[in-house]
Amino acid sequence: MTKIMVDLNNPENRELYRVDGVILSDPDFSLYPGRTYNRAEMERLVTDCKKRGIMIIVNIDKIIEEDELNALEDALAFYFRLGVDFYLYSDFAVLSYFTERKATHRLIYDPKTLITNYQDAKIHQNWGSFVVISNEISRSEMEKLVAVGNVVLEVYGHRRIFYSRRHLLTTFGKYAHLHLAEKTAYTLREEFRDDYYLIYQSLPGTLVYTDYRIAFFRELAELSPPPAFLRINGAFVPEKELVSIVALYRTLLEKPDWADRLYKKMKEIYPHLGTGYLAASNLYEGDNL
Amino acid sequence: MIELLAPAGDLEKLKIAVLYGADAVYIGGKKFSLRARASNFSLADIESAGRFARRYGVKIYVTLNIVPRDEDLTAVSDYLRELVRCGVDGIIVTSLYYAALSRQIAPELELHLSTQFSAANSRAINYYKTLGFSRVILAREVTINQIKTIKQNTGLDLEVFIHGGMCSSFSGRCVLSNYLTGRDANRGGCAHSCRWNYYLSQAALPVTNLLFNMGSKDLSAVRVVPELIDLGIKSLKIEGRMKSIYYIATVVRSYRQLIDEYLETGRVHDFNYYEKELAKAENRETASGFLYGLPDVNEQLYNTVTPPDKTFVGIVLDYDSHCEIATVEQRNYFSVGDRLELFGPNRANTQIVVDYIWDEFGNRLDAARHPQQRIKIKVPFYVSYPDMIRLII
Repeated sequence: MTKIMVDLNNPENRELYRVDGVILSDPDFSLYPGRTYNRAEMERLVTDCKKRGIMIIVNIDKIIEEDELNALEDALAFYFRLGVDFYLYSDFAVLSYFTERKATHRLIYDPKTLITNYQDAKIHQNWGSFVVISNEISRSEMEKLVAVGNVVLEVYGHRRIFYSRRHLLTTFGKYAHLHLAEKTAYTLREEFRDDYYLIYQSLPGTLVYTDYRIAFFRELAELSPPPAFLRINGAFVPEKELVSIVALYRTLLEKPDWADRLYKKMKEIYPHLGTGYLAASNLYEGDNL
Repeated sequence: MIELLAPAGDLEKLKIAVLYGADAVYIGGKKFSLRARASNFSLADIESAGRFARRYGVKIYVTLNIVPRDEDLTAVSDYLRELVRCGVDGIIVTSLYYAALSRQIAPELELHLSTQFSAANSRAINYYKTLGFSRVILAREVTINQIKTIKQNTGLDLEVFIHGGMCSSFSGRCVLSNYLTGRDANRGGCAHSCRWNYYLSQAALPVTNLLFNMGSKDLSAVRVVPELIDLGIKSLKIEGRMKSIYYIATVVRSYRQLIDEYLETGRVHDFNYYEKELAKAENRETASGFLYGLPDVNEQLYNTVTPPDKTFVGIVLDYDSHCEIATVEQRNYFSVGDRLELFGPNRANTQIVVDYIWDEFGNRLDAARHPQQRIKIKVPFYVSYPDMIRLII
């Protein structure tokens, strides 16, 4: 049975979501450009969610620097004591920690770009871990990946396509004598192209996202076997829309025959949708340059 | 012993890297390797490269550093066996599947973790050791102080980038190129979209008339090389498999001389000399990257147009000591009256003024105009292949 997880942007709304798990982003170790939670809030939410039978997934997906290791271990020990169900991570310092505690089954590897084939997914499966797969692959590759059995599909949301440690808005602001605010979404458009991208900077660095939202929806009903988890990414998605989107995915899982009808509703919520996991099988590799 | 690791996009570049003083060279095959625009090596080329390198006691590492898609999975076992047969010393991988496969099929190959994996802390690095990696190429985002602590906390060999192009993002964590051009950044098609210009707006309103850019200056770590040697870093890496033989010769020679000076004397007399030498081969500005902390505005490239570099005018093929005439393969225009500087693996920079140019049939020329034309010039001292000639402007 596929489970749905979603980023919790507003803890007051958690009852609105009919989801299996909520993702809570760590304030120091996640890249998430939305709400993060301090330890007191985490403690309260974990207790509450456990009562309601909702899984807690903690997001700690930044690349860890050497001087952060002690703080990371402290944070992980805290979450471990709380009994957090799963962890989204992208740095193997986290894997190392959980390997020592024989708890790698609680891990979801989410580097965004590096899981592009079923064999790499199997490596993580051998550790008992899950993986979030890259979006820049073909549908057939995605299907093979899902068949491995340990896959989290990020099915909806603005897709992160760039992660830099640099503070690129700040440095450009210095160059241009502008004040560009941190933790604020700006929009990029390449000088000769029409597409828009979101750019966001916070302490861990600068992130770029697609302006359109990935929506892997109608195809989801055709997947056999189904993925273990779906993630609905809440980055830059208004709360009201997020609640509606989650409901549509929940209904889709229950009533796959309604896919077309539900997708129309999804387009009404936010029309600028793109395909996920449907890249051409051979993205141009530059051989003919 | 510290290793100076040079890039090579083809066999000629590999030979230049070896002759100019590299201890090891990394190359890409026709498959499984990033930098698809580099010529790259066929298996026959790799075999030749192995033979050539062994003559000089130089190691060869082959990059299998793509993030593989399904079609990159099937032939890799045979490829690994071939690499062993060709005498390759090690491979550089991003995929853990490739890593696991190489341990089964080709355990004699050293296994290096690509910088695409963004290794930036000792805990992760120690874990990579349990996966069979013998070396980790550090993320370019680490500072010199972090490198020091990482080295203290891990027993694994560490490789550090000291020179060349920098991704603006963590390597491997950027797919801008995929979205903007349809070219797969993690399979060798990166279009360097981070170096393009963008309009920046907020809530549909432009924030400035200036074009936004994310491009980074290239890395130059000349001044930290002694510290890296003292820390016990295993390998100092130069980026640039797509760079010219001139670039490779100049950069490898400069770092070779710097390392040798430091190892022999315990100090570097004049860093400025090395920086000036390196600048002769650079067509982008350089900076220290993350070595001293988070890059600031001075580490970024804004509003910069890079002109093509035309200072490399020829490579010496032969020398007639009796007539003091050098046979040269032309690479860029130069003419009678120009001041040229000759340099080589074993020679100090020496300048001449061109008084005569002949074509290979003995006809007098006023200028060398044709790429790869064989010409002859008067050189009043012994020169030999692969000495190079640059134009002094």
